[in-house]
Amino acid sequence: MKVGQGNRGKSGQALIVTALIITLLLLSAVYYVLETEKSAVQTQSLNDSDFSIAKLGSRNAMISSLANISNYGVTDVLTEDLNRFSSELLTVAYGQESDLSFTTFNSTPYENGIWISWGQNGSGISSTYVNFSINSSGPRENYHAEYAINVTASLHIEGVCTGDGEEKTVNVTCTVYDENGPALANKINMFYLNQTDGSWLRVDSPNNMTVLDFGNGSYSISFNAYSQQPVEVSAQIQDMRNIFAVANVTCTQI
Amino acid sequence: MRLLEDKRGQVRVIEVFFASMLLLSVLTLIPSQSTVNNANDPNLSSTAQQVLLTLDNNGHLSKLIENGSWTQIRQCVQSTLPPTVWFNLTVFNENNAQMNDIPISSGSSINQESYSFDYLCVSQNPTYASYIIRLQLAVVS
Repeated sequence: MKVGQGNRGKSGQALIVTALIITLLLLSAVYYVLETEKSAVQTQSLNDSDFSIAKLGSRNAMISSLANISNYGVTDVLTEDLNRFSSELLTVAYGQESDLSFTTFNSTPYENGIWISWGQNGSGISSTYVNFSINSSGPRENYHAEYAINVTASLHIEGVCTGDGEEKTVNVTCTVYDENGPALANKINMFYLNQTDGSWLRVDSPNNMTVLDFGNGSYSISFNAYSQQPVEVSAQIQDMRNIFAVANVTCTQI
Repeated sequence: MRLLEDKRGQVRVIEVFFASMLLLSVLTLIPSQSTVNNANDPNLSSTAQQVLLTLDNNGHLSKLIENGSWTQIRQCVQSTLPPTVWFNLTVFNENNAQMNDIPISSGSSINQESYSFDYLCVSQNPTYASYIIRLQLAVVS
């Protein structure tokens, strides 16, 4: 009888231990499900982040390169800068394996991703165009995206001149654009051709230069020039990103 | 007699199961401690990215860094974050040397675990330059 009571007591202890083990198993299952859900959310956001940061960074690098090239730099700067950016992006890969590759656009009028045309017909353009491909591999999923970036600064000028003899009043309308449409200029410099020796004379304070800024990328510029007609005029602009462009136009007498 | 003992055993097993369920439900009812696990918070991760991407739009952030406008950077970050979010921002150059000589944060350091996000910021200057910006965020209770 005593022996039976002892056995019953031991089986009670065993039951308590079993209950605890089952509880622990259930708890660990719940914890595992919660952790799995959490890590799935993180993987998704990291991919989006990689893409946005790579896209903005590559655009900024292209602006930097075009500002350099258009200010009489060498065209190799574009690939050098993008290679640098690509390798730096690897070091800040946000816990994943990221890879950014690029191909410069090589179809007319672009050559090695660059198009610079500072023409005589009143239009000037400085532009760059590059295709990118980003691959990112995470613990749960891989990510691939392709995108193209175009950075452009251009201007268009038209002008007329009035006045008798060699003293002319030149009126020029200048419109500045970027890749999205009309844009503001950071700096505008005007020149006119000295027909005696063929040099360009900078329009300065003695020329009574006035600039009317319409605030929408259009500028009305007026100045005095000492020249035979027609007056050859050159406009040099720097947009807000320091990208440089030039356009020349012939202003006829009205 | 044996059959009766066996039946009692089955009842015990059911009893154990119910006891486990009872223990589990008690554990789930215990209010979880209010320590926010900031380090893995997907909301903070998204906030950090959005703050830096917004500031870097049009190359604004790199201009502020190049001008050493640390106070202005602090004001910009502060204006984009809710008051309950603590932040600390550190700017490193290409050689991983810290650039900001004053702290760019919303207050003294906190004891809570914080989320840290590294961002690669490229300058629009004609000479290529890049910076690594480390933004630490934490929700303060």
